[in-house]
Amino acid sequence: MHREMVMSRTYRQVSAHPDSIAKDPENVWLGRFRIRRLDAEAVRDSMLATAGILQPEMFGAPVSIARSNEGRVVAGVEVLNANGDVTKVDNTAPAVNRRSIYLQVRRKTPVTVLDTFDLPIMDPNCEVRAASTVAPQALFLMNDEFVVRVSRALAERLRRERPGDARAQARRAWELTQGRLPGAVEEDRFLATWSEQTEQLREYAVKHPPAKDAPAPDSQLDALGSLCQALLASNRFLHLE
Amino acid sequence: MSNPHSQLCSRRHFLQSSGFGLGGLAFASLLREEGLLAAPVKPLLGGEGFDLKPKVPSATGKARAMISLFMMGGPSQMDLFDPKPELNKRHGEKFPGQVVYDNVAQASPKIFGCPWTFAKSGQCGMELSEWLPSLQQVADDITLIRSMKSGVSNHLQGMLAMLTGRGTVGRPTVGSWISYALGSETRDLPAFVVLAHPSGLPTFQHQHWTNGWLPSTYQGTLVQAKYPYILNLDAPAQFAGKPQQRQMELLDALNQQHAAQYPGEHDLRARIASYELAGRMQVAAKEALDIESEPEHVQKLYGLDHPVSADYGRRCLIARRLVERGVRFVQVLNNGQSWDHHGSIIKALPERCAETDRGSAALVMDLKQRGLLDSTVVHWGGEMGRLPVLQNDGAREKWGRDHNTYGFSQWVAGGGFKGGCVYGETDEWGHHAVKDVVNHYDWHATLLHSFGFDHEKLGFIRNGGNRTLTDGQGARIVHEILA
Repeated sequence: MHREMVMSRTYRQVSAHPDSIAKDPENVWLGRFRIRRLDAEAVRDSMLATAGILQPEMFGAPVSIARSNEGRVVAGVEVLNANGDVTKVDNTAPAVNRRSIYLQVRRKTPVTVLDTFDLPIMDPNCEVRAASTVAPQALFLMNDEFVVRVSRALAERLRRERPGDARAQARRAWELTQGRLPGAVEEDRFLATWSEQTEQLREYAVKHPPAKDAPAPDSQLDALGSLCQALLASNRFLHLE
Repeated sequence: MSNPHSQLCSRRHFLQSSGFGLGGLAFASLLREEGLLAAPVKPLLGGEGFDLKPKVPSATGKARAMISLFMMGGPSQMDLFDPKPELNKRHGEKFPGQVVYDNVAQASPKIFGCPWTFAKSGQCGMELSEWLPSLQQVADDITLIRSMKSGVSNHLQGMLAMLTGRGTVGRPTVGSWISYALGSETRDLPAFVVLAHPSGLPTFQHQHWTNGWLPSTYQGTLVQAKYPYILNLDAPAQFAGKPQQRQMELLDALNQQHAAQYPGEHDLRARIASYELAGRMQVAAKEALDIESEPEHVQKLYGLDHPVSADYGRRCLIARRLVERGVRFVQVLNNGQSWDHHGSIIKALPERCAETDRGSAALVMDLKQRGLLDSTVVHWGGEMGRLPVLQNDGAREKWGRDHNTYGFSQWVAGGGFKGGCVYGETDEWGHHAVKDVVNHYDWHATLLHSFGFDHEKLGFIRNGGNRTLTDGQGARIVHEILA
C-alpha cells in the first residue's frame, strides 16, 4: 500500500513546479502545496533532531520546566537559594531535549520557544492554530540561548561526522538544514565567513577569558555554531514546502 | 450550524476593502512601504494572517491609546474613594445586613469605619482620601466610578472579568482587543506593552496580558523592570557586533534566495522584514525605556526623587514615553496582589498609596500638558473592592477587610471620559453598588465606545460565532461619563 502510494505519479510530483510558480505566484489556484511555517513543537523538535541531540525516548513522566532569571521558561530544573528564588536553571539532563510533547504544560508559564512560535493556548480549547510572523520570533532566532545551544550542538555533530574536513562539514550542514548542497559560491563564502568568525571569536576569548573551571573556548566550533544558527533560522528550514 | 468560512469571508472582504487584508502578513505596512507587495488575493484556507497596521475604527472615538494602571489585590473603596459617614458613625457595631465572606474563618460581623479623612478636591469637590494628595490635584480631570460591580470573587476570576469580560480563563485581555481593533501606530515597538514590577512576574503571570484565542500578534510584550528588559533583545555577548552581523548576512542571503524561488509567498518576505523590525526594535525599545533623558522636573513630577514612589513612577513615565511613540496599550502592574488587605490595612494602605499616588496622578498631569490626554485613556483600578466589616477582629494593627465584588471604585481619565465627574453610588455601607451600577462588561462597552468601536460588533470569529469582549452579557454604554 505504502509502496503503491509513494510510487504514484501524484506523490512524486514536485510541489514547486516552475510553470505553476510563474503562472500563479500566489497559488490562488492551489496548483501546488501551500508553503507553511512549522508549528511551534515542530520548530523546536526539528532543531533538536537536526543538531543530533533529540532524545527519542517515549512515554514516562513529563520533562519539568523552569523559569530562568532572564524571564525564559525552559526545560530544566529550577535551582533555588534559601529564599526560594531561582538562582539558575539546571538543563544538563538529556531529558531536556525530549520531544516537545513530553514537556510539562503549565497554564501560567508556557515554554518560551513554543510560546514564541504560536503554541495554542489550550484553556479552554483551540479550534485552529495561528501562525504569526512577528519581531519577537526574529529576536528569538537571533539571540535566544536555546537556539545558540542547539546550533553549537549541530556544529559538534558536523565535526563528529566529517572530522577534519571543513568543506565536507559545510556541505553536511547544508544537507541537514537546507535539503541541498551549497552552490560553489555559497560554499566558498561560507568557509570564508567561518574563518573570519573564528578570528572574531578568538579575539573575544582573549579579551574575555572564561572562568578558571570553565572549559577552554573552542572558537572554531563556536564560529561554526554561529553559522549553523543562521542555517537553522532560515526560511527554508522553518517552512514546509 | 453556520459555516464559519462564510463569516470569515465577509470579515476578509472588509479587511481587503480597507486595504490591509494581506494574507499571512504581520507587518504588511512595512512591506508596502518597501514596495514588496501587490494586493494578493488568496482563497481562505485557515491560518489567516493578521497584522498590526493602524486601522480606522467604525465610529468616531476620541481614544487612541490606553494606559491601564491595574491595582491587583482589590483597593479598599471606602478608605480611598467612597466615603461613608454612616459606616464611620457605627464603627464596631454589628453589621445589619448580609455579607458574603471569602475568608470565613477570620470573618467578623463588626462594622469597620474608615480610620482616615477625605478631602473635597478640585472645583468639582470630589471627595478623595487624605492618602491620595496627588490625585486630589487632578480631580477635575478624572471620572470616579463608585458603582463598579463584577460579582466574581477571588483574584484570578475577578481580574479575568475586569480584563477579559468573563471570569474564566482563555479569553483575550482588553489590551489584546484594542491592539487587534486598532493595530499599532509604531513600526518599531510592540502594540501592547506590559510593564512588570521589579519583583518579577505578577501572581497570575501571562493571564494579565494574554491574547486568549486572538492571534498571538496581539499578545502583550513583557518589559521587565530589570535588565535585559525585553527577552532576547540583545545578542549573546560573544556574538554582539560583527559576528552577529555576519550571521545576519548569511541568513539574509539564504532567505533572499529562497524567497526568489517563491515570488508570490508573502509570508517569506514578512519574515525577512521581521528581522529588520527586530533590528529597529533593539534601538527603539532601548530609547523608549531610557528615562534618564527626561528633564529633572518631569522625573520629580513622577516621584522619581523619592525611593518609595520611584519604582512605580518610573513605570508610569515609561508608559507615557511608549504611548508618545505610538504604542497602543500599556499595562502597568503592581507588586503581586499588594492591595489585598485582609489584615494590617491601617499600615499597608497608606504605604500602597505612597508608592502609586504620585506616578498615577503625574501621568494625568503630564499627558494633559502634552496634549495627549484627549486621546489617551488612563485607568486606575483593581479586580475588586473590600467589605465594610472587619477581618481579623483582634489587635487594631491587624485589622483588615475581606473581598467585595458587589461594589467598588475605579477612576478613569482622558480619551473622551469626563473630568470632575463622580458616577454611581454604593449603599450607605459601601457594600453593594445600588445606583447607576457599572458592571465590568458595561465598563468594557463604554471603553470600546470611547475608542470608536461597537462592543457587539468588534469580534473575532471562533467556533462559528462572532466572539466579543462583552460576550452577550447585555452590556450598556455608560454615556453619562463620556464628555
